[in-house]
Amino acid sequence: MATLQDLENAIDTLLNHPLGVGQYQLVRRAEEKAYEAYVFGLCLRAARELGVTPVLRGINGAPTPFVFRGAPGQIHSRGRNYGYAEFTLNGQEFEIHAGVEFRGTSGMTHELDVCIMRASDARACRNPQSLDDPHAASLVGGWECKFYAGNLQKGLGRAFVGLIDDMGSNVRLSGLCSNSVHPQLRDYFQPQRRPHPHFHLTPLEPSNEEIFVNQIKGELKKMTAS
Amino acid sequence: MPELEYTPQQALEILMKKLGARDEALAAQVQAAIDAGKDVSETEPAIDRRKKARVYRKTVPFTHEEALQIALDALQAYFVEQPLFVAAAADSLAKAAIGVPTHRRSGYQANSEEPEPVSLEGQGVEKAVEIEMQTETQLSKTGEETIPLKRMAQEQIDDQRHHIADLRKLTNFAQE
Repeated sequence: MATLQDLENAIDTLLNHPLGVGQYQLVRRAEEKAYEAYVFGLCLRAARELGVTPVLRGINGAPTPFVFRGAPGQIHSRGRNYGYAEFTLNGQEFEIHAGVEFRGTSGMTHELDVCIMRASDARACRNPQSLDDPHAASLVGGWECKFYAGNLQKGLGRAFVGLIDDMGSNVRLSGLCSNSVHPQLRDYFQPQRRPHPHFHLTPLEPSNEEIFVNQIKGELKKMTAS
Repeated sequence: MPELEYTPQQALEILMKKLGARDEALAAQVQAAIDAGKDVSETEPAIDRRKKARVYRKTVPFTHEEALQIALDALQAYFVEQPLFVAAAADSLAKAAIGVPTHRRSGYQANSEEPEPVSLEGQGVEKAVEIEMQTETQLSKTGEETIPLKRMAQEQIDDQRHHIADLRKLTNFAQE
């Protein structure tokens, strides 16, 4: 028979562990960004599994350390040595970014938590003589990343559908990634051309990671097939 | 499965009390996840036998048993998933190479739209990763400019997975 004391001991063991309450106090300022870094890493993995070596770059030089933006920013911003990755597949060049703003077809700018875009367009936007936000047509795939300790909020899904709609018809992949879930959002994302619901996308669910990575691999293969 | 000497309500109250004593912000987050409730389908029998029963959505509170699992899910998100995100990102970045610009040697022009020549280094080596805290547009300067994203020991993550699993057993009233 488990007693109340057994329960109290088990709770204390969980909370007092080095990865307990102290861990929460460490990570709470950067919890969203850690999740974005994880999804960025899954994009690197997709490139790697296609047989190419992604290369980490910094806007001001070698990315040591590799810096993730703390807030949405412009692709040409040199405020810090912001990191991104580049890879070449079947002769086509791509870049992976986190927290970069794009110009939608309406002219409104939108932040994508993690994205894959055409490298030539990214370079053009970083060119000191033509600094600009990347245009919607340069986007290959874009993902909204939300870390939640509870249920996701419906408004996030609605906002992301609007964002992707403004990115035009060249976008091949889009999705709402979260370690959490919202049953109604899953239904909301069902119609064609809506973002894919990557719910429970976490290392605790390797099969969901596989689905995410395989979607990217499949689209990049199709896109670069001669 | 051991029998449990306490009710789901008692278990939830103890968990939330201990959590609140250690960190009020975390307790508030967990409480918010619990208080969001859940959607259920309610069926209203038809008064007229020729008509179908009406089914409608209703948001209701979690039961105490369900709330315990919601609380443990929330704690798992911070104590297990967050360190796993960092570890997975670190693994992926380690397998990538670092591009070190070599344009000083090759005469590359900054306004060129051609790929910048780089030498590849550090493939298979753990990379230092930081998250910006002081953002570009932030006028007030407070605290650190960036914070490192540090990998935690896998054994510690596994420990916490086991501790969560133990608590799930101690709050599983269905299998009593």
